[in-house]
Amino acid sequence: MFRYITNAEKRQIDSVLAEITGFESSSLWSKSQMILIHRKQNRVYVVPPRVLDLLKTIDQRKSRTKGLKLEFACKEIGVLMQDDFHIGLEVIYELAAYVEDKFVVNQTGELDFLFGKDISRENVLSLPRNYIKGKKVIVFSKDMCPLGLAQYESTPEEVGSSSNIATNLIDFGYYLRSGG
Amino acid sequence: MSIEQQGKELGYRSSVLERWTRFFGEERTRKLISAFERPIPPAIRINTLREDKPEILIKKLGLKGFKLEKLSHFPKFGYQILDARNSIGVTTEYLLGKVQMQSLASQIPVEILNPQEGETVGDFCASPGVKLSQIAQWMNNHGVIVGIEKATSRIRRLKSNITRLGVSTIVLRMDAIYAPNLDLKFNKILVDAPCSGSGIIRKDKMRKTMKSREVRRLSRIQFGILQAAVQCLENQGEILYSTCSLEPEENEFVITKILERYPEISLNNIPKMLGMENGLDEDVDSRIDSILTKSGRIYPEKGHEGFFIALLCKE
Repeated sequence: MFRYITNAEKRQIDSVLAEITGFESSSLWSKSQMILIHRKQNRVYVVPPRVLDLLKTIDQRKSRTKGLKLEFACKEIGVLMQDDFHIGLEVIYELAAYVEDKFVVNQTGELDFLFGKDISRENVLSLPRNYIKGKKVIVFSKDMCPLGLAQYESTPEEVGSSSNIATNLIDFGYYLRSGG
Repeated sequence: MSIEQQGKELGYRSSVLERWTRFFGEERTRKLISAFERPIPPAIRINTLREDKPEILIKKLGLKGFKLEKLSHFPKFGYQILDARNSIGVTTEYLLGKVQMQSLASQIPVEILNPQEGETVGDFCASPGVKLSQIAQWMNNHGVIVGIEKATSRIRRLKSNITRLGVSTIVLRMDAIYAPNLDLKFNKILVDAPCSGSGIIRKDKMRKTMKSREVRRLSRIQFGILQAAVQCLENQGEILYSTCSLEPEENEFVITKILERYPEISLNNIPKMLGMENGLDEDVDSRIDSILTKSGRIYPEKGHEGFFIALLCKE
């Protein structure tokens, strides 16, 4: 039904989260347990102790219940791949609170990004100092709402005012596009 | 014009009108079919799991052309959209989970169940997750929330909604009638049961032609789910049973059968909101327990979706 993540998997997750916040972000959930549910993908969830106890009870009784599947458990933080960890939308909200130097876009950039487009230089209102090509970054609206995750595409010197500065990795508009 | 002629012109199956006339009388049936032809303003719920300053959000939406109105104190976070330039579903606020489209009537069941932080609460028919997210909002995501959904096809939408709305919950894919096998005990359970949807004919005109045997089939399913909920309920726990159906077979009949079979279960009074009326009683049909007047009915002619709500308690 579920399994605990291994230390190696935890390190893999930590390295991706730290790239965004600058610290070992899994410490945010130190009182909770990370578990993995395998469906078509390996989805990682953070569950508090009380919920974990309940999941253990369900796991023990699952043979009594035809077709029972655990589909979701509290907070989904992402999908674990062979050599990568893809951060989920839910956790972007939480990590955003810890980002000090923000990547902020204007309203045009916000709408473009939420419709799945990349970010062009002309729509950026504020660029973080630690800009490194290939780095993942949370994108904020001018109201400081997190909009999703992007990856710097080129160095600021390389881009003209209308060319792309960051690639859209995942955005909250996904809910609409996926028919949710 | 006779009610049969009026109904036929509007596309109703004659058995639907016959049943309504038998249970509600001719005058109310006329009101019902006339009300279903009048649109009602859509409504939203502000999701405080994602937005801690609802008043600022209302102002922002106002600047985007949404004219919102709060009808009364209840539902607590519900607003009607009186005017809009486009759908709220394409706004950034919706995508970020700050608002959820939800009719005012459908916000009432969770409002009455009133889940509290720290409780263990179940939603036995969880998809599409709108009421589940309302439960989480009331509990501020503190406690244990378990959503149960049988249909694989509805799980994807459920997961999408609960992630967008920031809900911390367990989702189990299973038939809720088997929930007692898991030995779980809940303080509160919401059974927003699958139903014929005769209270929401405004939204789905296909329901004008529902068959009586379909109503009977649904009634058996509703009883099965409610029976499972009773078995999973802690002592002093509460079950909120609701449907968006007007049919007594799916509402008062189901509750009467539960009260007959489980003497430890009683029916509680509920606060009457949005022009809610008392449930039907034995004067309407001898198979209904007279205590069912403690339940509530929202009729569509009051300008809302039709709903039935009953609050059960385990002694």
